Amino acid sequence: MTRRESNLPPRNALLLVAACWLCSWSAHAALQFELRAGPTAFGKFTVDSVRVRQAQGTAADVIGLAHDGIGALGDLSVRCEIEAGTRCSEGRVTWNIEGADPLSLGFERRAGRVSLIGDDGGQVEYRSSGPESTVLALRDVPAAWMPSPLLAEAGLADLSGRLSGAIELYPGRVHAEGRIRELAFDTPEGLYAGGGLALDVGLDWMADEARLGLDVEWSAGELLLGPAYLPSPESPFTLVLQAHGQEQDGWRIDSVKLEQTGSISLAAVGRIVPGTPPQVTALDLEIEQADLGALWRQGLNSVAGTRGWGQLDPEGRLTGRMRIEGDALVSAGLRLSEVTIIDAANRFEVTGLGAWLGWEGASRALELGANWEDARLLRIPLGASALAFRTDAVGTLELVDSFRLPVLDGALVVERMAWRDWAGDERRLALDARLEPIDLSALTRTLGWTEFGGRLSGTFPGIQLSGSVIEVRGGLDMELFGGSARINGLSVERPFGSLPALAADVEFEALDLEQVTGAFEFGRMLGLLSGHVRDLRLLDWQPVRFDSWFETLDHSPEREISQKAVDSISSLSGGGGAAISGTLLRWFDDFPYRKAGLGCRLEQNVCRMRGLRDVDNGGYMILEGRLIPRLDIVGYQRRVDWPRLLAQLAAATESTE
Amino acid sequence: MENRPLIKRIARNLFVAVVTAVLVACVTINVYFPEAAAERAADRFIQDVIGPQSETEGAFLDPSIDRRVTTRSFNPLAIMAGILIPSAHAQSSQQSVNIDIESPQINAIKQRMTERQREHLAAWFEVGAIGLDNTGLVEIRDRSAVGLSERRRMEQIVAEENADRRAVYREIAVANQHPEWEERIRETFADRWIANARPGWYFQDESGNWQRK
Repeated sequence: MTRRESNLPPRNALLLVAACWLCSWSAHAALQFELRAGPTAFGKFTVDSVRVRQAQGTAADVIGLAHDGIGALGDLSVRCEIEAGTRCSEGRVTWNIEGADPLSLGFERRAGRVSLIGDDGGQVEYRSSGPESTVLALRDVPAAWMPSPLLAEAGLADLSGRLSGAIELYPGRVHAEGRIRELAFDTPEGLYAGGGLALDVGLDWMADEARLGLDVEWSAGELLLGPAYLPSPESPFTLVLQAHGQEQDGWRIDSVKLEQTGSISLAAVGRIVPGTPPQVTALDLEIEQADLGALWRQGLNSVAGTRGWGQLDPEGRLTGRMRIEGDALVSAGLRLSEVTIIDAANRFEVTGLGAWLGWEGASRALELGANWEDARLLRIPLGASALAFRTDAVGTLELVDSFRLPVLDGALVVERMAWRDWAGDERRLALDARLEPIDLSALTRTLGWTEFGGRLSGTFPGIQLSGSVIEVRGGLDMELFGGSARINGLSVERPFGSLPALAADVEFEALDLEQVTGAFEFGRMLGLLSGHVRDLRLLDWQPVRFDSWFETLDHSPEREISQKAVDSISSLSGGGGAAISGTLLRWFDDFPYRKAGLGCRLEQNVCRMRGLRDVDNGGYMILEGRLIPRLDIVGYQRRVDWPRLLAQLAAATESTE
Repeated sequence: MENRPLIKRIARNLFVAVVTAVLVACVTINVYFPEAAAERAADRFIQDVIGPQSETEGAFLDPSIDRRVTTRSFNPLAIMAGILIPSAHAQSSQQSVNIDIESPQINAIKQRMTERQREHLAAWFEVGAIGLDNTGLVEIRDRSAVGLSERRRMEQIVAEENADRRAVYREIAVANQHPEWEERIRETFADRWIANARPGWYFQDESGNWQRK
């Protein structure tokens, strides 16, 4: 047995290794030897040592392979199993890298082809027909061939899927086509991920012109991009990109086009400066057309969902353009047309909506506007209208013309509306608005309340927005039941959010009791009624707190109460109905009264009742009779369960008179 | 004879002092945030949402109460008034600052939160995908702890949970006639969510670092 050991200078040794093994396998089969080399560097790669042995087949080990940027790449070993003459024609390559399972691939080398074949069915074939053309063909190459440290380097925590395709290398040109199937990936923090992705990729690279052409088709699979979730597309998305590298300025994007057949078409040009992450220094984006419904289902809904608006189902078209230079939005113009939005949560709907937005970065000028044919807010029908806003010289966003929004038979008219410092945190809204009379019977019917007639109108000199609270300055006036009411201190919180709240103080003045009792099927009462509901708070549009007091006016000419109204009042004060039926008084239809008064302070689901005055035995006088037949109504229950009170009241007003 | 005005003056000053003490004391009692009551109310609410703690777990929940009590300001006038004011009055003041959170609307939210907890949040807390932050809300801390099919809904569900929580804190303050208590109620809930959290759940300590219970 002859054995030669060599201790050549590292670089030369490695060249020798390469010369011996990779190119010619010139060592004779009968010859046994071992070559070793110490630390060596090739460009950005370094190795700790290389060893080539020839003893019953050739073996080569590359120990401690590393890359400047990526770091340690482990050890590579090649075992030749079949040697045809001087060449190794079959063997095995094993890549051992720390933190990953060893990757072991068989290789075959025949007539200008080298193939790497995995036990998992993946195959890479290298074909060369001289220096003019080289092809790397991939078939079902699994992502698992990429060891985890390289995955981490690529910013991924997980990668699976299979790649088939071909990379063709010509002098000065690369052409590649690939089909990626069942691709799933995840990033370490999980912010970006994909699953079941099917991508078809084509790439052209012209080295002398530094020109890149790329097209990608996304036909299946879901993507998670931060808060946006993009489901598997209804029809394939294609991205076509043409770019060329510029020595100093990074990449110039000559054109990029993103399309979904028949629904979305975006085009852009721009410039990208490399870095981590690469920076877009200029971008001209044109939304040639976008189907709002498709865009919505393709991911916009997930972003809107985080703000509680995921249930909208918009349809319509979006077009527009925007220009970005550096970090600044130089200009933007967006237009929505033929939009219909129907909120599944029944908060609002709008049809025939058109809207636009224009922005000029240099002058910080903003213009926006909208018009619609039909709309509905919390079930209240609103008519066709249009409004537009524009910034003035000092950055106040102002209503251009007065705005008139038909509400039932009336209208909300906004004469002036301006946001000072609209883009800042301290934005203030100045408002000059009024409500032109609205028919109450239509309004109450629309809201599903007990229907009653009258008119509602008001003036609002301002609106205060703080946090989620919208406070309306000024008040609303109502003409109802022959009298009037005024709503002050109106504020609304989270109107479209979780648990909408409304607060107000309402004062009632000289309502005609006959009309009031008629509307609510309360029984009949004659007289005039004044009172208040102060400190009112509605949650989910149901009262949870108020302090109410109602009393009849002494100067009203007729003061009478019917049997049924007596029963109803008894119910209100917590007693049962049918208070009179067992007594002699049942022979009378109506009873004259001197004065009636009843108050309730609702808190924590309990109504604390009070009357005109306290009487003996802990009772309180609700109605004081007059003349004959004299009837007094005295309440004894001071604390009444509010839900039960509502139920009793409903029962009392339902029974026939 | 000259002493009389002096005695009168002393008597008058004493009277003024006592009246002042009584007035100050009343105000002091009323503006106290009822910490213990708020904690009890928060515990009831939270346990309804996440289910009751087992008894051994409940044993170490209460250090926060002690800390709060010892930091209360010492007010000699209040103590004096405490002696002077009939106990019935003091009691009624105490009752008026009880924290009540029962209303059909709050219960409806609680019901919604309970379902959300059972269907989504409990599993996400367990694997550490979400945690309890130190402001009484839920925060996503590790998306990669759950698969893509779950994760795609996480952002929205956590946003809905936090909208509900914000509404609950605000409405409890308003329902108890002290809207300005919102922040204190939120702080109390932040403490109690963490105290009632199951072992293994993540929570944020006061400096915002994630800890595992």
